[in-house]
Order: sequence, then C-alpha cells, then structure tokens
Amino acid sequence: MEFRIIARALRYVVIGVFALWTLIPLAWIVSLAFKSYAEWRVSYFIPKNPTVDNFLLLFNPQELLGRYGVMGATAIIEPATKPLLNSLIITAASTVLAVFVGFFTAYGASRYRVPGPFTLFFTLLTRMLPPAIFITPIMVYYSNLRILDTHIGLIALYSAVTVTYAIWILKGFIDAIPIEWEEAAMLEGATPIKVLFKVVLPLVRPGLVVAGLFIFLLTWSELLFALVLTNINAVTLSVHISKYVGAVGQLFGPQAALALIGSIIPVVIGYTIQKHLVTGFTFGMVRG
Amino acid sequence: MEAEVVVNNISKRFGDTVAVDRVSFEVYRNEVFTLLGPSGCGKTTTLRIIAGLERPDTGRIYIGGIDVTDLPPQKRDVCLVFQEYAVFPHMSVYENIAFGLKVRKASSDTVHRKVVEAAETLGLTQYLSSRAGGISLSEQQKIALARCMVVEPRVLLLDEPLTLVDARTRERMRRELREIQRKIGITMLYVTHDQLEALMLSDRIAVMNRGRLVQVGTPIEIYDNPQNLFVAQFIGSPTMNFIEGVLRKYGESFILERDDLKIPLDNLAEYYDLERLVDREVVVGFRPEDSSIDVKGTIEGSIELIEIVGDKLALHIRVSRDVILKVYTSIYEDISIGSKVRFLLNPSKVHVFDKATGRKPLLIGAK
Ligand SMILES: Nc1ncnc2c1ncn2[C@@H]1O[C@H](COP(=O)(O)OP(=O)(O)O)[C@@H](O)[C@H]1O
Ligand SMILES: [Mg+2]
Repeated sequence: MEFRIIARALRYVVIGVFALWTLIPLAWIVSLAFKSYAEWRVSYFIPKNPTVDNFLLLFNPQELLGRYGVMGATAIIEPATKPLLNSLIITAASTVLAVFVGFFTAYGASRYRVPGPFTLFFTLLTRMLPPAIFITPIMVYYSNLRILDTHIGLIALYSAVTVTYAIWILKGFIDAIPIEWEEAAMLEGATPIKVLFKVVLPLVRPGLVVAGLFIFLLTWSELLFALVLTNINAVTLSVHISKYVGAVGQLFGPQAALALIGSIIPVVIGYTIQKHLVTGFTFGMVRG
Repeated sequence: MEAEVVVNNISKRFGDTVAVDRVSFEVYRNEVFTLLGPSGCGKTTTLRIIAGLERPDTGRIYIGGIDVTDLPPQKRDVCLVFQEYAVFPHMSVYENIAFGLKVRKASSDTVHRKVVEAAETLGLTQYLSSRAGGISLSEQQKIALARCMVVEPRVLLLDEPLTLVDARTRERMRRELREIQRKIGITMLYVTHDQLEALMLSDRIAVMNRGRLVQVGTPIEIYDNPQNLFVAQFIGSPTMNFIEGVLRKYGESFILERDDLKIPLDNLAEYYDLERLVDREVVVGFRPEDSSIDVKGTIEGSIELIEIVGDKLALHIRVSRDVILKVYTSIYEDISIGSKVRFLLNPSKVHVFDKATGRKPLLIGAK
C-alpha cells in the first residue's frame, strides 16, 4: 500500500520534472517575445510592459537597424516575410513529394517481393550516418548543378531524405489492409491502377496524414542543410532566426518573436489535420 | 450439359507443400458445384487459381469455353466472395455494391437500377445508406454477394462464405443462398469444409483430400456410395461405423477376421469382387441407419449406451473388446444397457475398403 503511494508520487515527480524541462524554454520564448529591450536580460517571466514591437520589427528591418544598429546587427537586411514564405513553400512541396513517392514505394514494398539483396532495409542506410558527412558532397553537386540557394535544391534534398520515413510509415498502413479487398476489387473488374487509387489510397488516408505531418515538422525545423545550402534567395525560417545575432549581442526579442511564429504555424497545421487523423483512425479500427 | 468451368489437371506447390495435386473437374451451367474437404486440403488454392489470383504450376483453366489461364482476374468473368473481409468498411453499403459497376464505367442509371435490384433480392434495402463496416457479419456477406451479383459474372465463386456467421444465421443463409441461386440461375462454385452445408446446397460435390480430388458426385452418390475410405470417413453425421481386420477366405466364405472377432461377409461378396482383397487388411464400414436389430443377426454384442435420436434409438453396441458400433433401432423391446442384442447389416449398404490404399473393390459385373 505504502509502496504504491510512493511509486505514484515518484511518477508524478518524474513527469513534473520532464514537463518543466520541456516547457520552460517555450515559456521563456513566449515571455521574451513580448518583452521590451530593457527586460530581455532580466529573469522574471511576466513582462512589466508587454509589447508587440518585437513582432513588428521583424517586418521592418530599417527600424530594427535604427534601433539596434549599435549592437552591430548588420546582418539583418531582409524582412522575415520571405523566409516565412520560403519555408512554407519548401516544406509543403517536399512533404507532398516525399509522401507521394513514398506511397507508391511503400505499396510496392508491401505487396511485391524484390529479389536479391535490395530490400527495403537499404532505404535506412542513409539515415544511419550523421547528416553532416553529406554536406560537402552535396555542396559540390549543387554548385555544379547550379542549384545552390534555390527552392528546387532544398525541396529535392528534403524530399529525398524524408521519403524514407514516408515509406516506412505507409508500409505499416498498407500491410494492415487485407489483400482480399484488393483482390475483390480486381474480380469486380478494377484494373491494378484503379485498385491502387480507389481502394488502397482511401484506406491509407490516415497514414498519409501521419507521414505528412511527421515529415512536415522534420523539414520545417531543419537547420543544418538550409544553413549551408542557402544564402539570400532560399533562406528558410530556421536559418533566418539564427541571423538575429549582432556583433556584440543577440537580438533576443525579435528572435523569440520569430521563433514563436515559427512554432505556431506547425501547431495550427497539426491541429487542423488532427481532425482528419481522428476520423481516419476510427474507420481503420472497425474491422471489415 | 454445358461446362462453364473446366479445370484441367492443375497443380500448385508452395515451397515443399503441394497445395493442389493434378486436379481436374467441370462445373456445368447453373449448377451449384461444391469443393468439400478438411482445412488445408487445397480448396482455397484451387478457387484462387480459377479466379486468377494464383498461377497454377501446371494445367489449364477454361471459363465459358475460353482458355483463361493467362488472363488477369478482371478479364475472367468470375467473381469471388471471400470468407472474410467481404466489404470495404470505409464505403456505404450502396457504394460497396456499386463498386464493380462504377469501375466498369456503367451509366449512373444502370448503377442505380442494378444496386437497388440486388439489394432487394438480398434484403439489403434498409442498409443501403449505412456504413458497410458497421453492420452484422451475415449482412456483410450478403453485401459481398450483391457486389458480385451486380457485375453479372459467368461464374460465382464462394470461399466458405458462411464460416464466420453464427450457427443459427448460417442455417438460414444456406437456405436463402440456395433460393437466390435458383432465382437468378447463376453457376456457383462453392467451397466449404462443412459436409452438411455441402450436402444441403450442392447439385454436385467434389471431395478433396491433401490436394487431390478423391470423388465427384451428387450428394446422394457421395453419401451412399463413397468410393474411398477418406470420403466414407469424412461424410455423414454421425460418421460411419468402421471395423478393421483381415479379409480371409475359407472355402467359399469370406470372413472379416480379428483376434477378438469374426464377421461373415458372404453377402458382401454378392456385390463386390473381394478376391483381390483376400488376406489383406481391410476396413468395413456401414452407417448406423443401414443396420437393424434382429434375432437372426450375424453380429452380437452388448449395449453400452442408449441415445435418443428423434424417433429412433441409437444403440452403442460393444461387439468386442475394442469395437463399439452404433446401430439405430425403432424397436424398444428388450433394450436396456448391458443386455445382449444381435443385428444385421443391409448388405447393399456395407462398404469395404483396402486399408493400405483406401480403395474400394470393383463391383461385380463392372469391368
Ligand atoms: N500463399 C501460400 N504460401 C504457402 N503455403 C500456402 C499458401 N496458400 C496455401 N498454402 C498451403 O497450401 C495448402 C492448401 O491450402 P488452402 O488451399 O488454403 O486449403 P483450404 O482452403 O482447403 O483450407 C495448405 O497446406 C496451406 O498451408
Ligand atoms: Mg480455405
């Protein structure tokens, strides 16, 4: 009895510590985003004079420079609009591409046997090495192909890397579809292409949503490759956030404001999609 | 009679398992032809080969006179009702039934008319707008049937469609299935492991065992005249009585001989050519209803157990240390547990099989 109480107490302590560990930086960002310059470096959470200046300054670099030029904030010459749009375009396009290609690959991997050693396992190989080692070769390729600092360059890279996740997630969903459903459709006159689009695709819709969301989040927050492969044109949000650094100090306020915007967008998207997720899952659960 | 399906010498292996072993048969127009056999005997594989979902290693399949062995399922003019996973759970009942017509690009008028008609025939009208995954299993099987009916295949294949339905509903569905088949006059190739179902539904039955086809015939032929020990053991409820022993010939008399028992088989010799079985191990079988209590009977034993079966009694009679036989009687006199009785076998209904091969001797006069 006593043991149980202790165990339960311990569990709450662990959960509490973990929650704080995760939530404090978030709370810190929210707090910072609404603080004025004077309060950036003080340790209390609730701003004395909450302000939306930090958000406005993101889109007005002239004003930003005027105010914080003394800190050597020369790097910030672009408003945040373009990186935001870039991130949206690049993330959305590479997610759609990865999920689309992943769906067909997963279907093939689930329903057909590939002879020889070319198993699906091989798709994981590139995921087993630290991404940093790919940077130099990709830099060279991209420079030769003249796609450094382009949307296409990042979309191609991101979708090629994340398609692995799409394949593995979707394969799980396709494996769960009884082959009899496809066979029945064939016997009723459906060609293989029709089976794929009229039977399999609607049934894995929840899988498409799960894979899409996962890949979206992964791509949205990617920094390393974006930092190396972009310069002016295709700068993404995560790269732009890292630019609010002056020679003598960091522009905490605007940086936090942009980080907040960058976090809210996936939350909104995730929340909207979650509705699909729920209906999708329930119909998958009811056995046919 | 015209053969809608001709299965010619098909075989199929999966690794070391021979799932189907040189099977040939024909299904005639508008009949219900049943593949019957225990689980794992190759029924599903045979059906899937006919449907085009599996390629045979050898042999050809003809449907409507055309060699379809190399055609994909959607070009064979057959439809299959599966044991399980009969419906698309994410579609309404209406959409399920309409599926085959829609992928064939039928006009929406035609789709509507046929779906409504099939739903009426099968009593599904009230469910048309329900989600198919949410209704009972027996109704789901009917949807599967309706889905096949609307595309009007030449042959309807059914793979144990009633096994997952509860026992009471199954009984009703069998009857309905037979009525529907008569009404729409479709050729049906039915698969089941349930002999009662096969006997009730079929025009003809093909009994399978271990990938082989062991006997084809009408239900009455299969029941009354099993050509082989396996069929004799598999068909009938209760099962046949079996006595194993060695067939001996003393002078002109044939005798089934065991250490503890001797049964004269002279009557049997009038029907079968027993000469070749002499001194071999044989199995003699007869059904409980093909024997009768009689003071002049050739076999004697004591009553171990009395069962009431409808208007008859089923007597479990111990005729030797190891042999208990079941005999029906409607005479109630002198019947009590422990009492001695004698009984007769109906000689035309006694079967004898070679124990080693399972085969029956030739009929006298048959050449
Ligand atoms: N796809 C398969 N792979 C391997 N073995 C199989 C496969 N399908 C069937 N078999 C084997 O073939 C035999 C016949 O199976 P099946 O046709 O399903 O029998 P039934 O339908 O009469 O129960 C069984 O031994 C089964 O294990
Ligand atoms: Mg089977």
